[in-house]
Amino acid sequence: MTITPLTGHLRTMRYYLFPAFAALIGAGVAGAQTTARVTAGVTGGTALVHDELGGPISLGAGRPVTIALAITHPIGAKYRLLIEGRVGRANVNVDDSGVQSDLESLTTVGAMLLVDGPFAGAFRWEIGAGVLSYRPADQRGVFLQGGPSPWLLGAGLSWSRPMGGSGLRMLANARYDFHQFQTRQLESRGYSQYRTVHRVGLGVGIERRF
Amino acid sequence: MRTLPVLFVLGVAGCSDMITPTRVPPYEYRLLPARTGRNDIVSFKWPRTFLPVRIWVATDDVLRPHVAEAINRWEGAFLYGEFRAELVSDSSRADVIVRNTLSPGGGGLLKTRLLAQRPECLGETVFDDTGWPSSQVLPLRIFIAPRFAPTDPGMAACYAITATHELGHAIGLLEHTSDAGDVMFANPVLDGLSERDIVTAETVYHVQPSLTPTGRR
Repeated sequence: MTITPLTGHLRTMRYYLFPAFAALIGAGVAGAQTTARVTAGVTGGTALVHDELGGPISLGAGRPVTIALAITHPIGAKYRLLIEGRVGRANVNVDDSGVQSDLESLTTVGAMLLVDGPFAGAFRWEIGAGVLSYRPADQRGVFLQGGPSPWLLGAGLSWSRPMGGSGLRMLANARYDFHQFQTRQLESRGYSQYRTVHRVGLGVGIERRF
Repeated sequence: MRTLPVLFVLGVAGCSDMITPTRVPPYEYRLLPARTGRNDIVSFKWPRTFLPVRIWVATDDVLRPHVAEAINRWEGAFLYGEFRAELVSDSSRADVIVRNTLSPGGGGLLKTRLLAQRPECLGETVFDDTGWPSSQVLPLRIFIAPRFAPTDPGMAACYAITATHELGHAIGLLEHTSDAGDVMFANPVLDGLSERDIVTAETVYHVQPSLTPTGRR
């Protein structure tokens, strides 16, 4: 399956799609077993670009510290719907024939709609799709004409257990996701197709039931 | 629900990679013995440890916006942060000094001069070559001067083209090309960078140079 990144106004529409979903779900959750969760963690990923210029050169998004906020709402007896926003920040790094250097700071903002369900014991699986937006601090290099906002597919496992009788649960999760990376600047320089970027994130946090 | 993991696995299986472009061949950017009168080839680039390169031009100088634009153009030639520069206000800490005057010429130091000549203005980049062929003494000096009254029509375009050309020398494109479609043509007419300028600049920053900058840091 190939994910075809959107162009033109469809690209912009995605920013409105997820808040709209959130509002719809939020309107119907009062009194239900809705939970809110916040997690912090770190995400690592494969290179955004791999090139050959006198030697191998690769560009990566570093290992951003990520903060995620999510709201879950039951759908049926076993499953839940998750709406999640995830923000990460790290420096773009370059490996130029083995020489590492850090470039400008890069913020990634992700929004995902996921479904989770029981896996084993206190573990639950989760799977979903969303959008990941690259927001570089300075528009340079491959981000000279701005950062892309590709579609994102992800899956993971979460584990939680109650924290006393406070209604809070402690939570840990592991998430794998992938997306197709390309930028306008790379396209303008003749780079075609997309590079699949794989990411793995680990996080810990708390969850509260309303 | 059971089909979701299957769809996900199919998605992962659709891994792909970018196709890198076929690049035009770079032009000669090194100074060959016939040009320098030395028995060696000279090449230069700014190491990443020197970035951003500090460039001084007087704050009230008409050249300043043109030098800023030249910096943007050359930075834009690179995809992986190979070259970055900034304008500074203290010439004593600058790696490159740009002056709006004719080069004093002569002098006791060994100097290699790279000239650009346009109808309205002249440009020259001076490399102090006392450390050649292994080191490059800083600062590099760029001189850009009007040939006629600075208010003459075409002077702004001349400043822009000549600043880009001279900064090209300062980043390591030491030679002139024989193609008027390149900004590194000896009498430049292109107000911007050609594909060959970009490819050659990329090449400069991905091969080992003969000169290492020294001083001023």
